[in-house]
Amino acid sequence: MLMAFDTEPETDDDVLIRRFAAGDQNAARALTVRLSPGVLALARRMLRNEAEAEDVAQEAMLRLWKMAKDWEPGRAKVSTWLYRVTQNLCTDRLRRKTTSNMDDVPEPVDESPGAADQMQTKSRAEALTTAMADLPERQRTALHLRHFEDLSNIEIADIMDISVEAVESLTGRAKRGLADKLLKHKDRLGFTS
Amino acid sequence: MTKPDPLTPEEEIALRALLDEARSQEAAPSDAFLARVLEDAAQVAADNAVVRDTPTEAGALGLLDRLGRMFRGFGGLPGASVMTASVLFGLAFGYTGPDSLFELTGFSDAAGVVSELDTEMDVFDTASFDFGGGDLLQ
Repeated sequence: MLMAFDTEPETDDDVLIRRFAAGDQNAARALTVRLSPGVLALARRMLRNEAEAEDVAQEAMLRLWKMAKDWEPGRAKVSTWLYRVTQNLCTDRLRRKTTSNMDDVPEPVDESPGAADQMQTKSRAEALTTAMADLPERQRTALHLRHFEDLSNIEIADIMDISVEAVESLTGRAKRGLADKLLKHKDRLGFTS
Repeated sequence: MTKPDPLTPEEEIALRALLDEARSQEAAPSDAFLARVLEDAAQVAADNAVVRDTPTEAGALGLLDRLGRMFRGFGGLPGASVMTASVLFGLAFGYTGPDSLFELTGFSDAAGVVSELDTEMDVFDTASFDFGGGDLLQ
């Protein structure tokens, strides 16, 4: 493993950004370990394609490096800014894909089994991932940021540029959608509690 | 838009458990991905260092102006000009990249710079002067 742990867990992102801007590569390493997993996870969730997710996450991190010298501490959280950039990059990519594919490319035939059928053979986590992939993009993003990145509704609202109430609505709908798809099969999921 | 039915406590607990389980199984970024991110960081840091260590445009122009006045002040360098000083300044202070040199001198291509240097170096070859503490070009 190249680097498994955040070597400076006590150091604020703001401080690390300033150190990176001054030429400190250890700060870059700490920020990479700390921030890139969440960025990549969000991109994976939105794009559902590993190679594209890595491209977007790398681009988001590159933008972080480039803006480091102009970063104003206290104006925003670095992680919030980064998630927002990632979300926008993903949205752009999804939009381009939709536009370019809509007219001339036939819908691919999805021969994979649906979420319910997969439950017997795949793990619960995989079933959840499949069910989440079927959610509308904004619901999926909001739910991911809330439950996988542990962000507050206020932070999510900032990232998605919507109201806190809209975040609550999106996550509520997302959870209802997941529950409807998954929990009626909880015996098949092996979920007993 | 109708509000969705809220989850029952049992549904909430069950769904939370599934979310937590999925979260714990998320794949970490690959070493190759992390390495690419760090390469980008190193490249940006290198670019930033160049900018940091390069005299500002205002500082450079100020120096050029002083050099030009100094050359003219010697009187023994009739052909010396701010343009010559610009070229010399570029060489002396590491503005060796064509773009930087053109920007400083106002020439639009290398031929102009070389021509100016050839002309003015003839003057320097025949001139003897001391900047009072060291040769500018060393």
